[in-house]
Amino acid sequence: MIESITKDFNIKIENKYTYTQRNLLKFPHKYQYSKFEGNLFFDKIKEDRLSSISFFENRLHKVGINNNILTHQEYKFNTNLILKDFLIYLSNSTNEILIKEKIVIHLLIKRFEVGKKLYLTYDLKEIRKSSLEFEELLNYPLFSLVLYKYYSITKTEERFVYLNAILKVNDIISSVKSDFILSDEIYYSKKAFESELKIIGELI
Amino acid sequence: MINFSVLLINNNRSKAYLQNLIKNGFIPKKAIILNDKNVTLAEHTENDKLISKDSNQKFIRRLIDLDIEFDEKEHILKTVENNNIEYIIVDSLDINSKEVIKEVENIDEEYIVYSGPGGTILRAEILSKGKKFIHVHPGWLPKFRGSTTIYYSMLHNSTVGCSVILFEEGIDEGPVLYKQNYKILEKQIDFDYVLDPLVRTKTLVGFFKNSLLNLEKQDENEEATTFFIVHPFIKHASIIKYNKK
Repeated sequence: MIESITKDFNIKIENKYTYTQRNLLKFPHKYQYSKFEGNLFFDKIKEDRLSSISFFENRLHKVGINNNILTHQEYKFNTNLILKDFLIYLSNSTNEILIKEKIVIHLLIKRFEVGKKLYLTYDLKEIRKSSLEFEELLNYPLFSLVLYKYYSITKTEERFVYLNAILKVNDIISSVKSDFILSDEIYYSKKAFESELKIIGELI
Repeated sequence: MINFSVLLINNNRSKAYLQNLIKNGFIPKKAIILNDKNVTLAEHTENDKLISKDSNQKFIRRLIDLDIEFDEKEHILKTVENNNIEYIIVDSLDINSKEVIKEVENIDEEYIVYSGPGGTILRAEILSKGKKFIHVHPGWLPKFRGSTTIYYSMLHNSTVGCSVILFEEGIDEGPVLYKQNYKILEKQIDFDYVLDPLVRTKTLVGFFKNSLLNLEKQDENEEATTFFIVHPFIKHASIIKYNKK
């Protein structure tokens, strides 16, 4: 019925999740006044995430699974914070450490929300980018997974700050997924989408 | 009663503010209207560019729960002219531009109700001109600072808070003058173009009716959280949850 009406009146219904259709590292999304699409939107985002998981599963089989255990070096280097090492450190940390580092994480979220990129290094004092390099792809799934840890231990409205950033980071990953070629990048991206889907499932 | 002027763009928030302030007897002395004809902001409705000040069409937007409404198709120029409010149009949407700052300096009143472009930060220069900008933030402060907080608070506890503050340089960190919390029971309300402007307006009018300039500092014992532009998933989860209840 709906199909025949849309065909007769030449109405085009967008069936895809539109927020990952272009490279978000090149063309960041502002998300201002986004269109309300009703319940159908949930199907679209789940489809986007499930197809990304499937993409990463296939790619992981091709590149081979290594042990995928990340160990960090010292994340402070002179006056800089090395993002990858900081995120690995938090990934392996207890809740107490996560709480202790909350101010830094909130500043990183703020920087990410403004620029929609994650940089190699930030200055330790104000957590402002101290590198122009944003194409260390492993940082994106690691950031998403660290935020998932924060989301899981937060019961107040603050958890939505973490979720909001998770959704935007995962949009970026989905939009450039074919660029992920290293085993760790692929493995942790898959995990990032699986974690996000758990939250999505709880909220709808 | 507070003597005040207004700084507006032609959007639903400004229309709701102006129409309801006037309806309640609070007439601004002067209006600065920012209007760049070549720019359409995300917050503009499709009607905003089409409706002229000479239009007689009506489109009433209403929140029955709060007993408040406005006419979306009444251009703000029509409202100011019909009420003999002195106004100046500035051909810019940049609140920090020289042109806007000059007009702000020309205003006699100490208080200016702000309804300029959303998400803008007033910089030190405009804040140094001896004026106090009254801003209505659609979130319970300091718990809900930042952007699109309606969606987060509705998803969190199905309420909308609203705070009247004075602009300072930080994001939503100025002193709180008045705040209210609302439980909205009616369904199918557009959050961006109806709920947001009308909740803000109800709070602004409530503040003017109280008219006590109580420069209360934001409660430092209450934890402050800053939110950023809502992702479409959270927006959908919030709207759909609210319509189900």
